[in-house]
Amino acid sequence: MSLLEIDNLHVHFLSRDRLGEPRRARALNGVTFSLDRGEIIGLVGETGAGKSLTAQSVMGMLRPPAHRIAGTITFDGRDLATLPDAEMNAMRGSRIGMVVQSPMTSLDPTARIGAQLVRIQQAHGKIPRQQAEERAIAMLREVGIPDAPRRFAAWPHELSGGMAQRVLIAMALINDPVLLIADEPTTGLDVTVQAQILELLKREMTARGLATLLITHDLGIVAQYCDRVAAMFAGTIVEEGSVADVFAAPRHPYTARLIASAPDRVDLSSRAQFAGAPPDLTALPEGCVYRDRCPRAQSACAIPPPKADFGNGHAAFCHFPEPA
Amino acid sequence: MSAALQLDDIVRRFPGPQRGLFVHALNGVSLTVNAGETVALVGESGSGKSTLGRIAVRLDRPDEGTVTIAGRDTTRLSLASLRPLRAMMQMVFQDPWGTLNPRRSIGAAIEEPLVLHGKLDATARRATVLRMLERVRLQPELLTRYPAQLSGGQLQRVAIARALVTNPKLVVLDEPTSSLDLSVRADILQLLRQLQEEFGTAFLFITHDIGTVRLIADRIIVLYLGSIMEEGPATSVLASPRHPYTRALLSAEPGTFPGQHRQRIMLDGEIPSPLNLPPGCPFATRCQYAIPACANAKPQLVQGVACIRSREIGEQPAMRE
Amino acid sequence: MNTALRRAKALILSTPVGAAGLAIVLLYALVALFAPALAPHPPIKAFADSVLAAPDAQFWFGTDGNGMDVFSRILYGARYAFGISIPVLAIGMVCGVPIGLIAGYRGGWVDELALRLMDVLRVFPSIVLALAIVAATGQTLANVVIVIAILDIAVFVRVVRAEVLTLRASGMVDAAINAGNPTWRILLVHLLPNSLRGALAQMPIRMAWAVRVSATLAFIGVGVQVPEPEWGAMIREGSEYVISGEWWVALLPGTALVILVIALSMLGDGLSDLLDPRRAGRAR
Repeated sequence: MSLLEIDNLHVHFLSRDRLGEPRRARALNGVTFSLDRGEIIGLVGETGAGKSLTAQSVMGMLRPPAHRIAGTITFDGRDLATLPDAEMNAMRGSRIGMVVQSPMTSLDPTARIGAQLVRIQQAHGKIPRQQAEERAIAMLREVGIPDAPRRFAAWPHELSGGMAQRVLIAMALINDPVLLIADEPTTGLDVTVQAQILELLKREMTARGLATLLITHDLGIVAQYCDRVAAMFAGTIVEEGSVADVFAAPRHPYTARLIASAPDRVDLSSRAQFAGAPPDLTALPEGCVYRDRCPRAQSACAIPPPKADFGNGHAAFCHFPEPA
Repeated sequence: MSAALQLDDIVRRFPGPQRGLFVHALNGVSLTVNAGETVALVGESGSGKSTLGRIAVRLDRPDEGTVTIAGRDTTRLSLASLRPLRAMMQMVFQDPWGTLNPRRSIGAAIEEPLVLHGKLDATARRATVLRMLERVRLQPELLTRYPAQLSGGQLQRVAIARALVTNPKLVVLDEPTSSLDLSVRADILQLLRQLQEEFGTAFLFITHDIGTVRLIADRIIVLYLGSIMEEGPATSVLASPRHPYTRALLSAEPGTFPGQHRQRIMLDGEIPSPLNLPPGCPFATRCQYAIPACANAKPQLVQGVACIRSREIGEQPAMRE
Repeated sequence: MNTALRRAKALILSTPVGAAGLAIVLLYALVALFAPALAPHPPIKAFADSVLAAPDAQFWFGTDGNGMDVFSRILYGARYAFGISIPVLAIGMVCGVPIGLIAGYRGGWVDELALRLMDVLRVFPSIVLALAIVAATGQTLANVVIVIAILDIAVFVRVVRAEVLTLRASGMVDAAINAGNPTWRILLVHLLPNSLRGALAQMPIRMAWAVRVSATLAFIGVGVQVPEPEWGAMIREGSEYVISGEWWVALLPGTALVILVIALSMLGDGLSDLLDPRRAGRAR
């Protein structure tokens, strides 16, 4: 059994429009995937595809207007979706660590770095202050913060973007999680700093045997740092497989088009259009969600697409997959 | 024919956190953008690239140096006397959501520069706007819509249409695609290239993204801490970067071909504070090739590279595929 | 159901508090408009033989120390409440909005100067300042309105300036300059329509404040004087009789005042909810 298994997850946004009529945006429509120990899976897709929402669902951080309509999230044999709040809180920050995009807004501006690292340890278990501080300093050293004992007393605003992201990684790792969720962990950082952070994450993930769910819009990061990749469109995973297989021969028309628009693959002299209109989540088509934008679509696409299995865990949900 | 944009020895300082302390944003930058060419201005945050772009279209003024647009010196002109010149120098901003007036229709937004500059009557303006909309591949129905009803990619097309509608000599594009999805980004870059062929406009393309540079640049200028590190034709800079910073920058970008193991040149630390600049080479504090002499004097840009050791370093292979 | 009704229903559903506030304020406005038709007696007619009469069939809310009908006076008092607060609001906005707009747009010393001036207005306890000015310039209704309005300017300067600064930071001002807009057009066409949200949300709250301050001034004895049917003045007059048991003279106009102030505050809350940009897609 895998460490994390998400099965048929449906999340809808329920609200009202200006006339008071109920509105239902189908943000996640049957997301299914699993993640083994020590495995790094990259979740890719355009804005609004539901990448971050999937992560939030795992972290139990769905807030109205988002509602889980159906599906299970099994972590280490327990269904997170039905876990009481108190147990979910205990899980977050200890067994499941999280690194998010904006480190500056994720750190508490009114507490020193060290105090925050001590606090997160004490929130998840009895540990003597002295020992917690020593571990915090060791952790800061591990994530490559120079002069760690002095930085222990620094305030968040004294850190650069890269340093703040390192501190956030330290906070995510200090309680020895088994699952790490990284949601755009390097977006907004400079390229040279991004490379440092990614190397650090990769080193930690490998050394600790962490299962990692990495959400990014940067296909290069997935290609270089992940084992597997799952492509999302309109709240559905349309294709998944090993990074080598998917990047070499994407089989779902959406994935094919996404990968073809990567800067080191794109051919700007072609007259083809790469993007399509963002899907209207309140009025998704019947059957395949990509149908309206798909160049290969036929009338058969009005019924839900079957799982086309290409072996080695590579599968696409499509009636007419691209030839290999 | 004079260049679309010429900047000579631009210096810009901003007041720092304390009296007498200055943020040295630009420290003597010179560059030329010729008609019909795309110059990519590459740099990380704090390099001064956005300030340079704003100075080029005179949304900001330099403390020293001169700005020349299509042969006209605009350095000392007041905001009011710059107004008629704005038709020939335009800017596309990073965030189309924030820059378009949410209460004005798309049609009104594209038409505005024509109303303010043109001698066209209402019928001719409308025809021009419709033609422009078609050029940026937007449906005519969008004319009466409002910014909130459009996607990010559509809005950036509107911003591009608005910038090109007066047929300017120079367009500064400040990170125009960094807030967009990958496939939308590819579409916009493709569109920009077609429009440039069609209009012959000079583009100064400001970006931190090497992937974008590869796709769009004719020439590349690499900026670090307010100084040019390297400059040259895109093909040669990308294939054989000569400045250690350019090499690190290029190698840091992850490619999308799995198993393609570039030798990464990892830089230590981050860009230093522009409050107190090191006296010598701005990059020396992070450079693996730095020798004591690097801290003595700021290296001049010689044959497109500002590094006293570029010759020795150039003999080593930059990256391995 | 037609669209207007459905919109009304949607409004009530999304901000029931605001809708209730609006209903009460509208009721008060109708009373002010039709006071002559609604009032059973003229507001300043003294019934010499029924001084301090308890509420009964003839005088529903009793009479005051001069034998005037409290109920009729309360109805007419609504005219004073709106008659003072609406001009106050108008003057406050007409002066405050442009100052906030220009201070936020120009920045630098202009902004600094505007902020310092507004600070001066804010550091004085408003009632004391109003008291001093009205006492010095003469106790006319116009003076009361002007004094309260001046104190209000600072509020509008602040909210408008804050919105302009946000628009500046988002790049809208740069984009407008870039398109070739002259300064006046940037201010009027681009900044003004997009920086009024905060000012609009403040309007009912500032009205409530104006009603309260004008009543307070009248209560202290500065401003509108008895026998004019102003609620503050009525409370002041009635306060002498509370101990002797004639509670209706002060308590009933006081209640009218409190209900209007609360209703305006409710309306203000609802309005800021509705105008909140983050409200889009809120839970049901």
